[in-house]
Amino acid sequence: MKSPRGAARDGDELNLTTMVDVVFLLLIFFVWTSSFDAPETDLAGALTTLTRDRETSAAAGSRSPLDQPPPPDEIRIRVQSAATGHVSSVNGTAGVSGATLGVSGATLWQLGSARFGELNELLARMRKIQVLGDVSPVIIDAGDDVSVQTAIATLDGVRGLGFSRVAFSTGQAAVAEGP
Amino acid sequence: MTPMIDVVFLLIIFFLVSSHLARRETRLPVELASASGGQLPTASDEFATLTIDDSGTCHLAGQTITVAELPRALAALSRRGDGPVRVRVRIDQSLKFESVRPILRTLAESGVDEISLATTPMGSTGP
Repeated sequence: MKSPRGAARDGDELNLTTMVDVVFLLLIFFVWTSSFDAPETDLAGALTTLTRDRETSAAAGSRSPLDQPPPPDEIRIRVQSAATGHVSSVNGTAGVSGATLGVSGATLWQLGSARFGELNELLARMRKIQVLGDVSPVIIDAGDDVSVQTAIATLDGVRGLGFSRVAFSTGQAAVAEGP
Repeated sequence: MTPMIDVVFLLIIFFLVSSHLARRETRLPVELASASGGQLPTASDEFATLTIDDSGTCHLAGQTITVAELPRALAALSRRGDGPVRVRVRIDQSLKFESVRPILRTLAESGVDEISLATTPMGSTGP
């Protein structure tokens, strides 16, 4: 770039070419290193290999660390897709949920003998348990057809109530067990 | 002098950018589930990142891996570090649990019983 002569002495001139060089470099640097990804958060979870036939696996010497102390009472939540198998035929109220989570297909949560068509209903029941001071580990037993989003939403909700140990069961699915 | 500084700048930028790309390689594009209780990761270097994409394929630290190879890879990682390896799992939310369960079971059987689930932060729709 041509700079005006005579306005200043040569030594005082601002060298535009070098400055533009540096500005370009900085521009390239910031464009390349800027990230447009959504931030990711971490949700603490646990895994357990315990299944319903825990007695047999414990007798056979299971390697699960949860087996080392005498197993505490655990709260087991079954999550099943209401569209699969016998569950929907047993429970007529299934087919309510899913839409609130943005998940296609209805989901059924089962806690003990109680069944819930909405995650909020399950969480309301869990809150009552938590208020009683029960801090048992919670095991989420997700069925085959349950989406990961639903399973994680369940874990997230239960953890949000104050249960510190919430684990996914990696054992046999509840759905696979016969009626 | 000026050309030399130019070149040095370029080299610095090259190394910065390439290291940046190498770090982001573990962030393979998957659609993560949303959760309200997640926390921003702190020291990400402690974790091995296991990504399960929408086809159910596993990627450990940016490299495609089969479920059968997973225990060996985890053992190699835990030998390199001090204790048992901590695993951060990024699962595509559209996957069904039946395709994730064998992978999680392999993790559990490899001695990983505490995992970190990568999620996207949810607004105020939580319970």
